[in-house]
Amino acid sequence: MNLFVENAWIIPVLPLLAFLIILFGRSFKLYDNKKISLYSTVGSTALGLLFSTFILVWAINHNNALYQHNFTWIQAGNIKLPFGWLVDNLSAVMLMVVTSVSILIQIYSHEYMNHDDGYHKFFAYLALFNFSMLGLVLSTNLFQIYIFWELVGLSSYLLIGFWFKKPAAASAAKKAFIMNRIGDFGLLLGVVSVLYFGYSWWMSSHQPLLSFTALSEAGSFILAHNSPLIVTLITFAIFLGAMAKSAQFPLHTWLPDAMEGPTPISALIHAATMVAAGVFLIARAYPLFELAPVTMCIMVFMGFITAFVTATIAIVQTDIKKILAYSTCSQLGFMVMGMGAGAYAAGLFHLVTHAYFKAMLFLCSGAIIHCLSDQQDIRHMGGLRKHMPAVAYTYLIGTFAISGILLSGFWSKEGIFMGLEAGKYWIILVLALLVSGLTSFYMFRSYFLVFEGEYKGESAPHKPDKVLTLPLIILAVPSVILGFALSGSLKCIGIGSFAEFVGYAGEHHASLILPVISLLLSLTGFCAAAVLYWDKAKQYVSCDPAIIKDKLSCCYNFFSNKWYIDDLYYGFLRVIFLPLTRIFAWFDRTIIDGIVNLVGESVKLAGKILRLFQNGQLQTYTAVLFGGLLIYIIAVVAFWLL
Amino acid sequence: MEVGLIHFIILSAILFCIGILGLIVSRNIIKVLMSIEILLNAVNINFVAFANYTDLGELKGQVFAIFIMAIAAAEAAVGLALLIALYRNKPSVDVEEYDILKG
Repeated sequence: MNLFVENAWIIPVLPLLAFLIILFGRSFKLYDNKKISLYSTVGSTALGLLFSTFILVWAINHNNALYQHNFTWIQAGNIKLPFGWLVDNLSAVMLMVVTSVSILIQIYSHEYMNHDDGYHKFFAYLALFNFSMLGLVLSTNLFQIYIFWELVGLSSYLLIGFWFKKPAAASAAKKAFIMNRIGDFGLLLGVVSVLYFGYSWWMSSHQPLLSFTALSEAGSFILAHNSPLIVTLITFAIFLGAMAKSAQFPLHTWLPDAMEGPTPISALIHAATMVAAGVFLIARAYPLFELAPVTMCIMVFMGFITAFVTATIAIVQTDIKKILAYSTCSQLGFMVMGMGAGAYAAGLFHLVTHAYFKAMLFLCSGAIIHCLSDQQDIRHMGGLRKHMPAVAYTYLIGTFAISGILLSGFWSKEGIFMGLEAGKYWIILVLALLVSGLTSFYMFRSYFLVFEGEYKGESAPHKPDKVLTLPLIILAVPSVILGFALSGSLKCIGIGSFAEFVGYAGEHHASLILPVISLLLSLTGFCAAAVLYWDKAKQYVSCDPAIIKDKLSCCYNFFSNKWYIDDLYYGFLRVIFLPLTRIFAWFDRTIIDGIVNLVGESVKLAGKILRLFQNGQLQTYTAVLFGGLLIYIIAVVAFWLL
Repeated sequence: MEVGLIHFIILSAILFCIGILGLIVSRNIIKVLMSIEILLNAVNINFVAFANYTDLGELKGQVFAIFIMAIAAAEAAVGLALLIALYRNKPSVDVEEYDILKG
């Protein structure tokens, strides 16, 4: 077992090899067979999955399992930046989530992307993403995580802009990259400040620089020697990184746009794994965050605002992928909220369960889009349950899970609510419960519109391939059982609770009020959606969504314009940023270019003068030659005489 | 008046100046070549004069003068040959016409 833990580096390295094989193999036209790209990517992930399984077993069998290996990567004076791999309970869980979800999505992608020209490129990017994400999970220190943080950002950019010939995809990729840069800047600032303010501690302690295992002591040192404001600012800077990556308000706008990428990518990167990296970072740097209650409070508020804003937008969306994207934002908001309220384990638990059911939901939407020949508008769907029952039932399972009706999402969200209760965020708790009701409403709305009623599209839907449905069915299993199995209810048969496994288990008071309230609210959401959109329910209570839309038209417009956040950004860019850049451009063109051109012009002028002497006249040359000689002689003689 | 070294030097200096003047001001290329010959002769006079007055007994200066004459003959031959080649390209003996090598 130790063999796997000690060689955990191989998990990220294998996908990197797969990436290089495809990259060079295709660049030099060494092969043309799709199987090679497929098998190298899937094989590397399968081996990673094998390793991750053993590592998870190892972590379960050890109390507070921890293994880390560091070697010096960069040495500059006293500063030795380490690089290595860290295996503990948190990374064991994340490794499992990432490898298991990504292997299913790779298999799915084989069918989904089979007729695309960029098949090989797609798998190369997938492998690159796997490398970056697994490297991020195994990072031992803040600086290393920053490197992989950037790498996942890059892979995300490449994959969002995969169909870069579509202008929408190209600009979505740019938007994602720029939004993430804002967060990355914060993260870098945070990392550097942790080093700067704790410099003497890092130097005297002989711990690997910036390592996560020493973060709590370093944090205490920083707090003891600086004002609490410094710690708050550092943690806020790190949280800014998490905000951008995990699509928190107001940096969330890139995530819905990222749906321009291929659907497997939306499932893998923009729902299950990469966007969870922000939450993972918060979990990794949790010792620091605990020292800054103000930042924790900000986290709760930001998480709540994100959850609420994106849930309201999701209600009025008509693009199936956009609905899922906004629900992802919303669920990420829940995770951040939980983290901020001190429900560390619950936040992570929600991350894990969400990864499975959201990946499944996205793959369902991908299957639908694939079978309807790229139709994404739910108004042109309906009645698809008869055409693709497997997709419909897995989507229904996912809907139940995300809505928090007894399946896995219920258990993990419960932990978050309890954390909010324990943290005494009463108002937020009430509002968060309402948001979970909204979640239920918009998810069931999408389910009813897509799978129930009459088919409203033009082209006849064809049956999904087995390769498309198999990953859905496999993902449905954790979506159903994971929440219940890891909630601690099965302790009697030896399955421990997730909260105890990742540590930071708060006191568990089994109050029944919160679960019942949240369940009731979710059911209310379900009923509302059923009344509005389910033809079978309409036999009893009929209500036309169009009437409500008319009555609440101001709200509807506000939500469907995404709270005007994008317009705000574009307005800011147009009114403030672009004029500013014009000033800079003017400065560059006249002053900087002016100096450069002046150098060129002066040389030119000198040339113009000097070329008068180079007139090709032999006699001029002779005259100059002897004239010069004469002057020289006169000078020497005069000097000699005086 | 005793003719001394200084007179020869003055003579050669005058000849040298005439040579340079001819080199610079004459338009005709033949004249330019002839001016170069005058320059060489000015140098020759210098050599012989110095050899005669300061280095009596050894014939270094005179030998140099003979060498220079030989070189001058060769130079005149090559120069005239070049001139003929040049004249075939451009039927003119005006030095100012030959300025195509300018930068």
